[in-house]
Amino acid sequence: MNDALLNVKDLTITFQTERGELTAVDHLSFDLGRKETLCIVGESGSGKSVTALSIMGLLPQPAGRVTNGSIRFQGQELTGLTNKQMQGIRGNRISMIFQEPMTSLNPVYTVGYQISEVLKKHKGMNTKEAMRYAAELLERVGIPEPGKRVHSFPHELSGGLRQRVMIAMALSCDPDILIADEPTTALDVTIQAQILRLMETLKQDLDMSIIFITHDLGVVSQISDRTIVMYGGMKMEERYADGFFDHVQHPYTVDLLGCIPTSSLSDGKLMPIPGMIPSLANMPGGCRFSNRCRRAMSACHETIPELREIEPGHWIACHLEDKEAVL
Amino acid sequence: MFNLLRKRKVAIVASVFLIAVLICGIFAPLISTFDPNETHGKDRLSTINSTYWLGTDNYGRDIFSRIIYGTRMSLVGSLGIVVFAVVLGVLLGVVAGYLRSAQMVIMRLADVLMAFPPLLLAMMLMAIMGSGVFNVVIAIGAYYMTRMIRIIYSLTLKIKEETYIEAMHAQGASTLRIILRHIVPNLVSPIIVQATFTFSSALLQMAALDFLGLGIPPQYPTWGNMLSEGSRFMTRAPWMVVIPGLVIVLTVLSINIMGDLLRDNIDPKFRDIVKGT
Amino acid sequence: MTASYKEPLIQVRGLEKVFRIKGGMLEKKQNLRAVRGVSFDIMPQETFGLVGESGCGKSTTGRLILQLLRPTGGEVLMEGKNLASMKGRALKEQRAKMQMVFQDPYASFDPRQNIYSAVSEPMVIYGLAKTKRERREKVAQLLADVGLNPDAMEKCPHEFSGGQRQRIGIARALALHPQFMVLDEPVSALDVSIQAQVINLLLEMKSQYGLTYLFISHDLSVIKYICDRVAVMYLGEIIEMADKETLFAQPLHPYSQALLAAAPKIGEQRTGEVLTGEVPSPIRPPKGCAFHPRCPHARECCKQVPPVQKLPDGRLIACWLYA
Repeated sequence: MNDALLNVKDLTITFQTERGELTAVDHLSFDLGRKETLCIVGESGSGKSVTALSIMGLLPQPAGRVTNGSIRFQGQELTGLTNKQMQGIRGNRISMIFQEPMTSLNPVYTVGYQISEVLKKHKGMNTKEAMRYAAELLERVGIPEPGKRVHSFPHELSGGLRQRVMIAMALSCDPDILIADEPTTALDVTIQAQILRLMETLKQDLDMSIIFITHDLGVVSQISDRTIVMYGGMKMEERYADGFFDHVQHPYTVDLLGCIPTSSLSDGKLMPIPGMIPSLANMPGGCRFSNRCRRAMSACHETIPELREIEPGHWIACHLEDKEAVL
Repeated sequence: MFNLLRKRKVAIVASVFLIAVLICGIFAPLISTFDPNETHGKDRLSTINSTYWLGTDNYGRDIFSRIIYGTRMSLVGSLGIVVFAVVLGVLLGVVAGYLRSAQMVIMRLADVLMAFPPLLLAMMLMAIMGSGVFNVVIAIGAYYMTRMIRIIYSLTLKIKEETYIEAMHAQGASTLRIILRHIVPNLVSPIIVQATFTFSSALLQMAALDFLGLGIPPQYPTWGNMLSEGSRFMTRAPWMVVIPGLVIVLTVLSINIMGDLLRDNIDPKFRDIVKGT
Repeated sequence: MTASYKEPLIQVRGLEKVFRIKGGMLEKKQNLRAVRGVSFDIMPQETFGLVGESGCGKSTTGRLILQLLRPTGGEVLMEGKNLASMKGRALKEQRAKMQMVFQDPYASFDPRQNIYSAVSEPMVIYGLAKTKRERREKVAQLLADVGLNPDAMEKCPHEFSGGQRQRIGIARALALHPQFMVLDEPVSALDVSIQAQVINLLLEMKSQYGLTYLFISHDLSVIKYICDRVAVMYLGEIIEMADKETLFAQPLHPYSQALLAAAPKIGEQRTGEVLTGEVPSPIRPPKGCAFHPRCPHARECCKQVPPVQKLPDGRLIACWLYA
């Protein structure tokens, strides 16, 4: 997979806390191809957001650090870069949007000004060009009356429009990768549908790859080309093919689907996963899901299962796939 | 608290100093070397020596002993002001914040008092009420009370919007119960922080009032009165001014360091409001 | 479950709420009409769902019913008694019969109270269990009912996860053995695997305590799972109300259709049109049908207020397409 845009290999991220060093992401590997939408799904504490931040070089300092593994972007190693070198890539080649757009926009400047700042910095445009291009970008992300909206302040816009502004800002330098961390979680469903459709269109138009971080399996099934399910900082299942939800294999993913009421009328009773999501400080030994798994065996509590390819383009990390362990 | 102290070395020094001041105040008769009002006619304006550790003043009174006794008045007076400001400030602030009908009256009254510079307000009140320790407490306390009202008022408004207050309503809790059991307990830490800063400012204000001769009558040894007398002998006996001045500065500084420490460890939700004052 | 011979437990008649809000520094105060003439009945032991997007007035409606906010118009009848005109002691007595579970399990507890005092406080307020021992027994029982270890009593809210706190919130609401509960987005803040636990717990508690629920949510699939009857709200009005089966099998109002289509479904790629535009400001709602500026079927008559129609399948709908 050398043609991949981004290779993440054995990525391990730890946080220094009062309770000692905690591992938030443990030996995570994945590739992101060109024009691909990679969805990383997981519940809180799964390490999905931390992974995104580490790619951007935005881990909370000084607590968080990458202790192992590599992140290669078009062959260039990102983990060792200084903050200054990273700034040339961040916002330029790799952009990110967040769950709550209000906190990432400065309330005292107009949105046009904020977008043009990025353009001036990375593209060397002058103020006039930058403002004009900012309006163009707003139009591209589907904001009505872009000529007027460039002069709006963030608080004058609705949540959906603000997220569009954030996308416009992220797109301002034609990035190769757009990382979206729960971009639609704070939005209403009808607005969410608009934003998802917008991202799909932009991806096609701009030859972008998207890393989409979410907890919403419904969203995943709409946009994903490649899906990674994370739990407790580790990858549980990955599928690079259509029909992820028809082929889920890992007990965690299977059980998670059993927790979600569907909107069809004919669903059965919900089957909750028992127990709580373990905190980073007391992860169970062996498979991270072993203490909540209905099918856990003795091996599950002892060793961490390896990732195995069970069919082309589909990997799971579970001892049930390991014939020796089952016997 | 001990964990907090360990992180800030300067706070340890400050707290040791404050404990020393407190001990001086409590055990003044044991620590002082002379009666603070005893005059030694032949030893007027003597410099620092082995008999008079910090020298004597223009009447030949021992400055060390007067400083030690002055601690009492300063601490008791400031404490009185803090109690006055906290009790009335919290009461009026919570009522103004919680009951919309009372808000108008209390807050406009507070605005009027806030319109005066604090020293001017205190001087005015002293002129009306006449001198005396109790009157000093009221005169200075009035200003700090209004500050307390403002802070407690805005904190109450904030807590009032919390879901758990709504939850209490949903359970049929009365207004009095909500105020006493759920609002006031959650105000304790900002109140303590604010009280700390009030204490140090009140100490300064009292000294200023004494210095102007409007505070505690000059026969009592207070740090402010000592400054006031010393200022007349600034060139001949600078220690008369420098020593009480230094004591005031160090005490206020130490209290403020402790206040900062408390403030930085308060619930972040309240930090802005407490800091903004 | 919605047997018609029974009297409704809750009757809401023409409920209105206007908030006076400040505009800019020099602007006059404006009226924000959060709830505009909402009417519905909730039968005993029914779960009635209110669904809609943010700002549609669903949470306000829940609070108006409990009189946590006082309505500016209309009536709320519980067992035939009008709550909107009640005050003081009478209202307090009525409050014991209706409780609420809040969305944010982190904010709904006094951070200084331990679990025992939080759950026992309603008993103290109403003087239910006289001695501390009695109260401790009751609290232990309630905690066991919601699936928590009675040891939890001595701990403080911050020691629990979101799901556990929501369980405690339910225990607190059950402390007075209410008949009616308003559940305001009770699972929206929880992780997926925990959501299902809490939903099942709510269903268990309902049958164990014989409760009637008003379930408020923006999540259609959760509403569909738990509710018997559902009302869809848009800009402070109910635009469609029907039995769950009727509504989800075939939503008729264009907004209900759009809402259902927009909700992402697992294992399905999106099909069909995406609703354009955004919800207008409730300060200046559109004239006539509030949805007409976004509606794909809007016609000239939609600028008039549509009549509420009762269709043969029992559903109520406010849309000119069916008038």
